[in-house]
Amino acid sequence: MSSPAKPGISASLRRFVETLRHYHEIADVGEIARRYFPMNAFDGVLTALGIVTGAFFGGVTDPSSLVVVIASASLSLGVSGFYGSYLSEQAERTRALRELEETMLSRLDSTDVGSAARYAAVAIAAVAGFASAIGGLIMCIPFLLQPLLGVNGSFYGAWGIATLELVLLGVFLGHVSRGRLVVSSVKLVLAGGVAFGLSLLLNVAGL
Amino acid sequence: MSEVRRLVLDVLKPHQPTMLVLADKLGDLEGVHGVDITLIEIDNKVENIKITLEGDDVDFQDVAEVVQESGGSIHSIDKVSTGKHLIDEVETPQDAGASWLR
Repeated sequence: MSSPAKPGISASLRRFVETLRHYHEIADVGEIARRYFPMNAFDGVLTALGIVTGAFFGGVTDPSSLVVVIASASLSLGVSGFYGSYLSEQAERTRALRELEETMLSRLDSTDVGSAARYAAVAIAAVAGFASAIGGLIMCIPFLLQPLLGVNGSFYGAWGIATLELVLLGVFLGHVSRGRLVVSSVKLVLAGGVAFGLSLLLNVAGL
Repeated sequence: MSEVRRLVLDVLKPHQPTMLVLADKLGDLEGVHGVDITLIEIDNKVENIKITLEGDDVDFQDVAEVVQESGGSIHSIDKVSTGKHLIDEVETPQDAGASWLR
């Protein structure tokens, strides 16, 4: 049997979720978040891939150093993704709200339209920040497992994860565009290959 | 004091939230039995709608609150019906003359 307080909490939680869903629809958050997510995740994965490849060819194999470098870069990208998206989205939303207010001849800040605009800026920034950080952070896992995987195994593992993330991003984009998932995935993996090749060239050039 | 049984409002609102959402919210109000929303005019950013509410006790303040929360603005109250029974407007000879002019 449930306690008397439980329905109250679940009811308010349900109402909160419904309100967010309502704001989500009003502000059309889904479409913009769908643009930010792959774009920022792609940045995150390629940045971490560059660090891993550079470290491999540069002879940096200490797992704790690699984890700190990759995690720091990923978190910085996450913060950058969050703030950059928040500030630009807030500016755009505020502008759109003011234009709407001019047409309506009334203030909209305290209405659902105003709340939805504020929610949209935070929600989109959260998606952008998360997408920027998560791709690189996941690539830390093989280096945390270096005692089990070995030095080369951890690097192969990180490259494998990067490839898998690029494939999944390709599937996501292919799903969004309703195009061919394989083609979309191959395009992204090729971009990863280009980043890898450039790091290799730097090593060959002796830099 | 007699209760409001039918209320017709002229409202200007942004495109979002949609008329569907607004009708849903108005329909949930206590004392409201039916809601009808008709699009009168649509512009680039806003739309002009006619809201008709019927019930056994339509509270104008509650209705205005829902409309304003949705970003809408009530331009005018176009019709109010109160009393024990709903009655329709009676056409008089003067109205007939006016309709002929129209």
